[in-house]
Amino acid sequence: MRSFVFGFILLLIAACQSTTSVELQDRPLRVHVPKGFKPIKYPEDNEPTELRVLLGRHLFYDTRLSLDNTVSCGTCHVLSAAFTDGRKTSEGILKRIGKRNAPTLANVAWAPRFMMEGGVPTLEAQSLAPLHDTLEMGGDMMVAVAKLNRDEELRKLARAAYGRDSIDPFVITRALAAFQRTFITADSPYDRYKNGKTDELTEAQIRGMELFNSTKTMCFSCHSGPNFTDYAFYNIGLYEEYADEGRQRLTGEDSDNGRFKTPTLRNIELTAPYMHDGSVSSLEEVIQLYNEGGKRHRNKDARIKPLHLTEREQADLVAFMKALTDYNFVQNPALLPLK
Amino acid sequence: MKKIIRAVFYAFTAVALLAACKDNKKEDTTPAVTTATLKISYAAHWQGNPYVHPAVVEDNFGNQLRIDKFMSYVSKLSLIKEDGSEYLLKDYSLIDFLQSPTVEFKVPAGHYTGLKFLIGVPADVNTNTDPAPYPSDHVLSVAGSQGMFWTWATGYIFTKLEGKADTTASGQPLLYPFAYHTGDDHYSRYAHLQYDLQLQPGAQYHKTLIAHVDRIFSPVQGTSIDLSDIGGFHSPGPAMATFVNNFSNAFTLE
Repeated sequence: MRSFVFGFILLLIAACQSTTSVELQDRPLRVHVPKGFKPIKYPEDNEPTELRVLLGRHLFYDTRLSLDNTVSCGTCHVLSAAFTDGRKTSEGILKRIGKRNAPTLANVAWAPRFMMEGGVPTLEAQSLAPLHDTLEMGGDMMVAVAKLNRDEELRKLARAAYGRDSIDPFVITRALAAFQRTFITADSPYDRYKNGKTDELTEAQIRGMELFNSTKTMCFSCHSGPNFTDYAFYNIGLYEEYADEGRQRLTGEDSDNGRFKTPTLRNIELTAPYMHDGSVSSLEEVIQLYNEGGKRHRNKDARIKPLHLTEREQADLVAFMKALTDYNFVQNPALLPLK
Repeated sequence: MKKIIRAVFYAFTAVALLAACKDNKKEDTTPAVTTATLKISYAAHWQGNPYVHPAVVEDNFGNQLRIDKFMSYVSKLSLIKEDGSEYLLKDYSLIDFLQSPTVEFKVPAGHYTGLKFLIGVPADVNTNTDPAPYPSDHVLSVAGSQGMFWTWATGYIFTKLEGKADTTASGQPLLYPFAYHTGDDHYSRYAHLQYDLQLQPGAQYHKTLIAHVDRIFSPVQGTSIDLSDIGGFHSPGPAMATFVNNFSNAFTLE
């Protein structure tokens, strides 16, 4: 009996120590920047720490952020689909259907602007958009704040991570961004090939890569850099009349009608369906659209024109797209919900 | 020793006398009142009369409408002095015109020739900004902005004018929602109101800043907005420009 009591006390002490360590032992997070990528620019008020990322991981998968506790960030941004959801457009609270295809969050740490029309300059501010969208999480961050502040453990974590007395919009937006900046993908066959492992790509993928980087297709001119995007806005002639005005929504300029931000191509194999509205279901169809030169539109980019690609060339391009899949990334346990 | 004691005594006496003098001086120089109290109430009017929700009114195009929301950021609210310089009353306010709020200011007494304010928020707090760091009681915070912030594009919504209308003259219930949301740095506008204001020290004054909503649709000068043509906007463009131009000329101080 005495030994049982002693053991019980030891257990209690261990439990206390464990809790205390979570509260007190925050430290800077060392982030490995892959070869070929620029250093990540962190906001002054949100340098990465272990507890900030841990809090962000809690919040990213927390359905209490939505009005009716049914939708979290992770509902539409699923790791196995490279943080997309496989739907044409996402399903929010009360099964409301959104207006745009969920974008991947891979390598958002390097993105200079957010949303498809590019109106949000920081990852911190971006999180306000889905929280307040009535078609996504429901409408009011302050409602979420009230719910989360009833969770004492979460408050302790927030206090330790950001030194604030309660969970507030600052803590939520910062922690979500801190976690998302750890969504780093740079271990695809293409990356390994670039780093000297020449047997990582098939012959078809190498032919596709050369075609991708050729003046014949000009793919590289927009899908450029380590993230295969220039983060600029183009009309690719997807429609003659766009139901979604794209960047015009932000600027009011007719010349921006139908322009959307260039998406990254990393893990593109896993992020179907494609385009801003998810209207194209396969990579083969995407390549076919580009090969045909898009539809007539006053704002269509001059580089979008018939490419006259052979069937094999089209297949090679698709093969190259599939060389950009990073299976280590989409199975990274550190990015999954906490158990 | 005696000398030392005497010196200490004189010094103490001198200090005591000086202190006493100081006290007397304080009593004699009670600061004169140099400020006046100025209360400013905000109100929405329709065709010269106070608009009281949920009244249904008719515009010059024959549309029946009910205004359900009418809020604006009012920034850099300032009195204009005789020499043209400005006295800042308040940096930022979020005004719900349908609630007719009253704000009180202590203002240096004097002669003022007008009132000036920005409808919206200045570019330095609007462009590339994030409301999350503001404390919750600040009008620019997530909570304090009361939904007057575009989340899909950073920037505050300068004015929201929403309601329901019947644009068919059918006498049917008001089924047609309208929603005008203005924003973007290019669409903030200053309102300048000339008004002779003589503020006496210690006196109280109460003025009402009236937003004449009907003049947004049918301005004294400028382009009209027909609800049946333009039922709303959330993005920059010619319709928003017309709205903000009309709105900046739709105020009176009474």
